[in-house]
Formats: sequence, C-alpha cells, structure tokens
Amino acid sequence: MISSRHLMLLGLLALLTLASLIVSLLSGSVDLGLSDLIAVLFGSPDNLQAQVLYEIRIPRTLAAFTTGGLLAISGVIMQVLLRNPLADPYILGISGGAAVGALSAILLGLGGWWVSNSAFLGALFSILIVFGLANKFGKWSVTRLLLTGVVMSAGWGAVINILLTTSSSNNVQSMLFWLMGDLSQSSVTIGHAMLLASGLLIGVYFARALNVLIRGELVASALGVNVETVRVILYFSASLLTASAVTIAGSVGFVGLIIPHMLRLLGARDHRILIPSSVLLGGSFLVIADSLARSIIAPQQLPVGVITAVIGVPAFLIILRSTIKQ
Amino acid sequence: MKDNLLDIRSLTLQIVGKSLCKNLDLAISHNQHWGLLGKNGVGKTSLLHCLMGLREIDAGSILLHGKPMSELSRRELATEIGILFQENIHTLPSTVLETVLLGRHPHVQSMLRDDPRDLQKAQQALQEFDLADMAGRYIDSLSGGEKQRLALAMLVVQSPKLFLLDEPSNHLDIAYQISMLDLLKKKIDEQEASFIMATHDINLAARYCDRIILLMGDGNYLSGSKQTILNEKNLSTAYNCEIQSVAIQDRTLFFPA
Repeated sequence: MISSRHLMLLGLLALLTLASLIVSLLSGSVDLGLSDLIAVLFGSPDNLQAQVLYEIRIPRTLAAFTTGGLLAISGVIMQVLLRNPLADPYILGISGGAAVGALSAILLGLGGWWVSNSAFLGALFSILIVFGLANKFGKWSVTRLLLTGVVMSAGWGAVINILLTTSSSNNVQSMLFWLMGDLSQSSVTIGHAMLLASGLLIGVYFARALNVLIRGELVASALGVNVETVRVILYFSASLLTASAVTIAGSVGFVGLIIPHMLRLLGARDHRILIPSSVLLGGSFLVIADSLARSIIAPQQLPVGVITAVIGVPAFLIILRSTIKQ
Repeated sequence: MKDNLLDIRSLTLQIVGKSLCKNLDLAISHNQHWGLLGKNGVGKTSLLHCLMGLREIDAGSILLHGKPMSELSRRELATEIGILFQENIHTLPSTVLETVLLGRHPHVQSMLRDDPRDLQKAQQALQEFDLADMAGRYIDSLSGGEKQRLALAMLVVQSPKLFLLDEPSNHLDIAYQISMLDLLKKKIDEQEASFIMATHDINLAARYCDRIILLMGDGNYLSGSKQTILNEKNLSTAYNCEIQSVAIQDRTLFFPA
C-alpha cells in the first residue's frame, strides 16, 4: 500500500541525493565553491577546476552512488529471498570470491583493470559454486543456500588470509583497502550505470512479488506468485548487482545490510517504495561516506568502508532505538 | 462434470515410500463443507498442499472447473483456490493492514497502482475478524490467536471459490473458535464457495461440515456424508483408539473411551 507519506519519503531522499552529490563534488584537496561548480558545469571554462571536476570528482562521485545503489537493492532482495534480517549482499560468498580474484591480481602486480575484472570473475565463480552445490533437483532450500554460502565465505576467508600473510607489505596495503572497500581507484562505466538502472527496474517490476515473498515461498505460491521463476531471476539479479558493486569499489560493508533495514524502520516496507528508496539512500550514503573518506585526513585518504561502518552503525542504532519507543 | 469446482481422480500420494492415499476420487462442487480427518501424520496437510498445487502428485489428476490443474497458471489457481497454512513466517516487519492486503495479490491489475476497493475489502475484513484496532501494529507483536485471525481475514480478502483450511481453529480459544469459524463459514457461504477443513478436532468437523473425508492411514479412505462416515467404528479404526459417541441436544459428540 502506497501512501502520500511514502511519496514524501521518496522526495526527501531525492533531495538528500542531490545534496550529497553537491557536497561530494565540492570536497577534496582542490578548493572549489558552489559558484565555481555552477560555472564549470554550465559554462564549461577550460581550467584546472574543470579538469578536477570532470576527470576526478564526477567519475568518483558516480562510482560511489552506483556502488551504494547496487548494494542496497541487492541487500533488499537477499533479505527477502533468504528471509533473514541478517542477510546482506555478501552472505552467499560473492564478495569472498571477488576478493580472492582481486587480491590475486594485486599479488601479481597487475593494474586496476585486471583487479576489477578478476574480482568480477571470482564473484561469478563463487556464485556458480554456491548455487550449484546448494541445488537439489532444481530446487534450492533457503537453509542449504545459507549454509553453503556461509561455508564458502569461510573458505574464501582462509584463502584471503593466505594471500595477505604471504604478500609484501606494499601489496598488503592495497589489499586491505580493497577488502575494506575503497573508491580511490574506482572507475565506473556506462555498463555499471545500466546495471543499476536494470536492477531498479527488475526490483520495481517484482516489487509486488517481493511483498508476498516476505511471507515465505509457500504463501507466495499460494497467492499466485510463480516462485520458481521469480526466485531464479531475483537470485541471479542480486548476485550480478553485488558482483558489479565489488568490482567498482571492493567489498564495502554495511550498506547492503543496514540501508534496507533503516528504510523499513522509516516505514518503506512496500517494495514498490523500498527498492527506489534503497537506490537513493544507499547511493547518497556512500557518496557522503566517500566525501568524508577523502577529506577527514586529507591529503591522505581512508577506505570508504571504514566510514560506512563509523556512520552507519550509530545511525542505524539511533533509528532502531527511536522506533522501538513508538 | 463442468458443474464441479474440483475433480480429484484416482489421486495417489506418497511420502518417503509411505502411501498417504491411493486412488482417491472426490468431486467437490459449490456450497459444500468438507471435513478432512485422520490421525497425525496421515497426510491431511500434504493433501491440501496438493490441491493448492504446491506439491507434486504421484499419480492421478486434479481438475479445476474441468481443466487439469497443471495447465493453469499460479495466478489463475490463486483466484480460485486459497489456503490457510498451519505455519506462518514473520521475519521481516510488516503491519496487520499490509499483510491482510496481500490477500488481494492474485487479483491486482496494476503493477504500481493500488485499487481503493482492495483497501476497502481489507479494512472490512479486519473489522469483521476483530482486528480493526490493530491495523497499524507489527505482526510480531500479535498473539498466536490474533495471528490466526489475521490469516483467516487474509483468506477472506483473497475470496477464492475453494477454501483449503489447515487446522483453522489453531491458537483460538473456545469462544473465538466458534465465533471465527461461524464468521468464516458465513463469508464462504455468501461467496457461494466451498471449503475443505483439515482438523484433529472431530467435534469441530461434525459441527461445521456436512461431508467428511476420513484418511485411514494405510492409503485407504472413506468419504461421504457426515452421517455415514462419522461413527464409532470408523473413527476408532482411523484413529487406532477406541472412540465413543454420545447424543446431546440433537448433536453427536465424540470422545475417547
């Protein structure tokens, strides 16, 4: 059921998104004011400021927004499909596989392109293994999927530790940044943006089915949802969205777990609202976190994943606490 | 044959090699009240799940309005048949009103827009099932009985032609058992629908049903009018326990000897 309150929430989130984008474009080591931003964006003078904006800040801001949006949609879908409030985009081991791919590329001294692509391959490999092993006669039980995913994650964790302990300290620094989630090396392509757009469309298209799936697969089937098909499409989409997010920014934590819960607590429980809200809040949350990550101890940068946890945890606890009182 | 709502033809069901029913033949038409009885584990729930298309059948066929059920889409099925489950899942938060509205899911036309009539139906059902003042509450704050009433309200909002009720009296106190089942039966009759009610309470079945299916536990079954099926001999055999009856105020009550 969609009420005017929901539309207001969407409106507020759109404003928050706009504000976060502006803040992100204005923060960094080169001074740039709002008037400069407008002058560059609408007058396009060819100077240092324009260069900083077009070559550094805009791509990075877009990368942050896309990653946040992808993770938040994926988190919503995983929590519904696995019917587990603790589920996040990484719970089925996707980030573990991606990490092993990325870290191996770093270990071999390969560049950014190789790191993202081997991360993507690692993620796909992990998805195939988990869904292949958990599959029994074409059916996945939630428990078997969760157990397979969690055990695979543990396995990947061991490989990650081997890679970390056997690498030179130089490499370990980049590896740790990748593992915590970092946007300083990120580039986002039109492909990522299209994936986010398709994730949003798929999420909204299946929003009513997701509303029913919360009650479990049996209830959803009995209420007319073609669970077998919908489940395959949604698992596949959520996995692909996660794989794409980790190739952009490494395994940024908390976004996929807490953004969906925050929005549910704020009343966005209908997926027709929850999915678009997640894109906006997940995206702008990561944009803000990344602005902080590159300005708190500038010119040095922090991995954005640290900031998401530092802001995300107290913000989530405050919302949880205030809604319990109601 | 076209007049029948549901035709079950030589249906065979097995679970891990044990036969739940063999060659079950049953025709269910409009305005019928069926009781499904048998001891624990005999396959009452499995049979209901089959009729909802949630479980594969081992042999035989089930026809809905003369059409094989396997040819119908989930959505078509859900507009004709609705089921009350014994167990319900409540892991992510949702409110009473949101949940009861889900009952309209098979009927929704638009992907994005809500039909105000659906909201009206949902609110009416909440009123009738004594849940109106809890519309905004989270489900996990409800008692077992309130959750059961919510599930009944959701089914009424779905308004199928055949109601499959798995232990509808679960979690309800004695007063609510009667008032809620009276109400449910009234709503079902108003819609000229039918129900099959699986229950372990023989007296409840005797009170609300006029036809009985009694699963014997070895794959055999008895079906027919309440008067012919519900007697001491049949029940004692089916439950493997001596059951006696007593006539009281033009009703027959059954109790273990």
